[in-house]
Amino acid sequence: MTFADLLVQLVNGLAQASTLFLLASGLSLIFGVTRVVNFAHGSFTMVGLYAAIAMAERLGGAAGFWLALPLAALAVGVLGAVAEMLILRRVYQAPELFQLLATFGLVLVLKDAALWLWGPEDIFGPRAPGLSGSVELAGLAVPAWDLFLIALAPLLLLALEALLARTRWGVLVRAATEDRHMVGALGVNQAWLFTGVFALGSALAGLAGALQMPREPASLGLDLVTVTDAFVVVVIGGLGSLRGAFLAAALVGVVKTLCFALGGVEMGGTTFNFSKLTLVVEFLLMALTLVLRPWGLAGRAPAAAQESPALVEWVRVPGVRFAAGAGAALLAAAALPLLADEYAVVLATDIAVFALFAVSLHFLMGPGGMAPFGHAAFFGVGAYAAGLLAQAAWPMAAALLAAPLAAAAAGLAVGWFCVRLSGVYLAMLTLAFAQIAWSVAFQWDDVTGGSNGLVGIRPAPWAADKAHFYWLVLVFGGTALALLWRVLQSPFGFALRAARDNPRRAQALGIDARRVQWLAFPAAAAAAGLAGALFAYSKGSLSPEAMGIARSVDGLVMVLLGGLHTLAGPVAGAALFTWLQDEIIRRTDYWRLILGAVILLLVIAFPRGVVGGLRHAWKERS
Amino acid sequence: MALLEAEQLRKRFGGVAAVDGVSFAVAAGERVALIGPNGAGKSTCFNLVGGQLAPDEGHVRLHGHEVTGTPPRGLFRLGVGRTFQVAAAFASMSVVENVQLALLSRAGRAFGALARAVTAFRAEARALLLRTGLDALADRPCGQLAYGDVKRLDLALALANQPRLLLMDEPTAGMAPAERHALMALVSAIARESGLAVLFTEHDMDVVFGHADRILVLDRGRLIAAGDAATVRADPEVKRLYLGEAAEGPS
Amino acid sequence: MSGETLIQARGLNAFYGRAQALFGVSLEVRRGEVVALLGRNGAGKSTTLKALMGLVPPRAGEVRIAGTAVRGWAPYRICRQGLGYVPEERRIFAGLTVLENLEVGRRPPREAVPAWTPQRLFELFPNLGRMRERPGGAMSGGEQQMLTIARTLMGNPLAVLLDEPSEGLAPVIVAEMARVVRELKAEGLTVLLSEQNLRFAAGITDRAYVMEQGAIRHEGQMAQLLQDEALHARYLAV
Repeated sequence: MTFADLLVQLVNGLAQASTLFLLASGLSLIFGVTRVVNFAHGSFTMVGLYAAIAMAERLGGAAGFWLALPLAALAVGVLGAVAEMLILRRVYQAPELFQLLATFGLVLVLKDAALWLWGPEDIFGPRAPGLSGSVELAGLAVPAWDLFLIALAPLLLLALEALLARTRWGVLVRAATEDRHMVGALGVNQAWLFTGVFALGSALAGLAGALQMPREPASLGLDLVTVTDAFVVVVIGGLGSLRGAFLAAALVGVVKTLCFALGGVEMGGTTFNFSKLTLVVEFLLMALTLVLRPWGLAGRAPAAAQESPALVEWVRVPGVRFAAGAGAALLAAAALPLLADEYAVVLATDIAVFALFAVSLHFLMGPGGMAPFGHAAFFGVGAYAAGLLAQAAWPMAAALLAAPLAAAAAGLAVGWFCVRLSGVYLAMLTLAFAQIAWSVAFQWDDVTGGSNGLVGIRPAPWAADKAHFYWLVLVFGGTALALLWRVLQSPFGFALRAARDNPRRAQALGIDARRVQWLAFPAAAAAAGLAGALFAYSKGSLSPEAMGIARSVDGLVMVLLGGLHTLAGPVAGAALFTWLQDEIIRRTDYWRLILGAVILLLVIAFPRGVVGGLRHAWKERS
Repeated sequence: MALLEAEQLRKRFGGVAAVDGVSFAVAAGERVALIGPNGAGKSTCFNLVGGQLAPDEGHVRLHGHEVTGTPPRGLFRLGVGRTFQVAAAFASMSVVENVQLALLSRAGRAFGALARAVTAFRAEARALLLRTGLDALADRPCGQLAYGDVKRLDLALALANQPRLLLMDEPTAGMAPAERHALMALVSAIARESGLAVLFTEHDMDVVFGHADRILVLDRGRLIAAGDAATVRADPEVKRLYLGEAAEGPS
Repeated sequence: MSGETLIQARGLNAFYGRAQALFGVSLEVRRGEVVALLGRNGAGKSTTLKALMGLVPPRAGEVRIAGTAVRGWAPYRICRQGLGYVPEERRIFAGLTVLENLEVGRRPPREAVPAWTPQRLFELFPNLGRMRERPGGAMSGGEQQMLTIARTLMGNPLAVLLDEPSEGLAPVIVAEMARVVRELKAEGLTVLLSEQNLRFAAGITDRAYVMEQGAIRHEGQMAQLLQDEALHARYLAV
């Protein structure tokens, strides 16, 4: 490639960076004040783009295009304000994972709302009147719209900084970022302050979307792609820092386009294809940043007082009665194939697989006190390990033993990085690793089959019968559950809770809190990997979706359905969730809307989870 | 030989010297208080000795062995116990389970993954609770304790490794006056019996003058006075910078 | 002492989760008075102040600020009604300068009391006047404590709640704090403070309530209270 091509790509990268900054600044502002990482931020961008195109068409002409930009931003700002008042206000006191989950519920609802309003097809927008051509720059033709976007970002940064530094509203926002309750006690109506910040952040997201009109079509997949980009930029820049977001946006935008531009490069005799890195490179950057500068380029360590309410609650160590109850439940589950049809057995197999997945996630979330948002990575590693071994003609039993080991190795590696962080940062880093794993599965066609995935993963002949396979899952899954529960009663389990309850106290008692948390990762990953391997054999085929964001979120919903403070909770949550999902998908095209609504209802009505909530209500009564 | 020696400790935070060349020693069985105005460097000094921070310069020695920069969990193995200003034990466990975990850690068994923790060191844990007056609360969830009892539990945990040096950061902060003296009397008794050396920071001058054999006064990162209660009270510099009227008060 | 009643509480019950923290607390503070809530740690002093401010919403009872019933109101409305709150843990905004901290507390002037401005506050707290542009995080503990009081005064409150103003401060700063409270009283401000340090409270308050286990056990003039040895032994145990 020539230098000129590189320059054109650079302009393209910077234009993308400008959009990223718009996205990230809104997300960062919202996080700063409300401490909520808004998963629906990308959805606001998506809605902004759809709305802008619709408005530009309705209004018509050049004026229509230019008017549509602020109008779409305004509309999305109002949408954000409404969402804040109806939903987010109710979860500000909740632990951060609940907040992430609530906003993910919003993602699902908005996606189906867009599907209903604008249909499943991509919609192309008009080009910018007056800026549709290209500009001659150093002998190169550069799109005028890109230059417009590049100029916009620094202006917006200055405007936002002035707003925060020079206006009373800005001072109040900064004060609320530090201590929102104190701001309330000083006579400021925080509810309106929060709504205002949320509206502003959403409007910025909407504007970012609207500005894409000349660049890309509106599509339903935009929400998650956009929000993961925005997460990456905000985390690299430092949560809550506008300047950090600006720097990080430029970095990510440029590095991504450079990878694309470099394409295949000869290195030591082999061709290394950089363009394949585009999906992964931003997550690599993010992981690198989090390891080198855990609070981002320009971020600061969060004040201890602002950490989310701990999930610490007294836990009685399970005794003989719990073991007897669990054994009885397992026996009852084993009787199912004798009583029900094959459909029920297949569903029960899914439930058992996901129960194991949910319990492994709970191990990290509950006793471990960590907030992993990419647990599906371990599930996926286990599933792909089993799938690849099956294709290499390993016997099923051997593959089922090797897959958890592969996942545990991944857990050991990922955990090493993750335990250096906490809270939202840890959640984001696990998400990054999960996305890296997903991208590898998606792009490494030769090994993983790429987007087609793996096929022909058949169970051993003796387990081919659905009922036999179900019993096999119960045996493997039950053993793994018993082991995890046993570990929780061991000194290691106590040390893990100690590291969560009070890490400083634990250190002073000679317990290496970080090491304890680190070792919890391979344990949980092995169980998740086993679930993945069983899943692969039960389905017979695999696609990268096995470790997508949606799978991670499914796991979180299961755990939160069941509640964090009970050992049986995740199992009940997995059963309820898997059954509900099966029922809903069979009945409607708008299953996301219903799932999203269920998530929102759950998080708002049952912050302790269903099992935990019922138990609490029972205790209150007696 | 002194049990604990700090020599020329220095620590800067962004150009500001929080601790600027502080040296002192604590002998076995001795109770030493570290006092000074807010921002004088007490906490930093304390954290340098306790391993929470590493000094930019200077040395910390325990029994003559260099332990500068050793993290808290390493100091635990060398016989240093520590309590915290804002005491908080492990809220998801009962009182006795807290102590059992500390004992398991001392025995190097905190990473055992298959043994049952609730049956380990039960008798020894009960004995420690008896010593600190918490026996009746042994099976109480620790999150439900009154604050004074959490402070006691904090002490019980710090004593679990039979320390030779006990570091207490504001041991009586947040306690009622009567409780304060009871707690410090207990610490003093243990120090007498077992030759335990105690270094503590404290704001309550009644506690300081009543329970310290020797007092170190810090101001702006430097040691401005050291000696017994009478010496420190009479020091004009200390009076001016820190004690004010309280120097004349009763104790 | 004969002024109207500014703060009135009757039969307040408050809870932390399921644990009851206040049991029928009743008290009143008249305009211009400086009143102390005394008692051991955990007696319910701070909780009483938080309940008055709406930070721990009382589940039963009545709170009146300058005659208006405010139970169930959000803290920001109670603040606007004329009650200022200075928390025990200071909670200044570390990233904001002294002037910006004051700006957060600023409310419109009130007819009954002279309006506070940064200028007037810097006369009361000369130290703060010398560090107007300094971020709160770079101030010493004593300076921060002064800033929290100044910040609350910017709301032009009719009455101020001071939670443990002497806790954790060096004796010289405690003396400075006593001076400030006396000057505020001279300005006509009404103060209700919680305190464990009897010596400090004795020097600045007119009247005191003694609390134990979430309830008020005794009420009286400070001078009487100081002489009642039995009372000390039972509730204050100095």
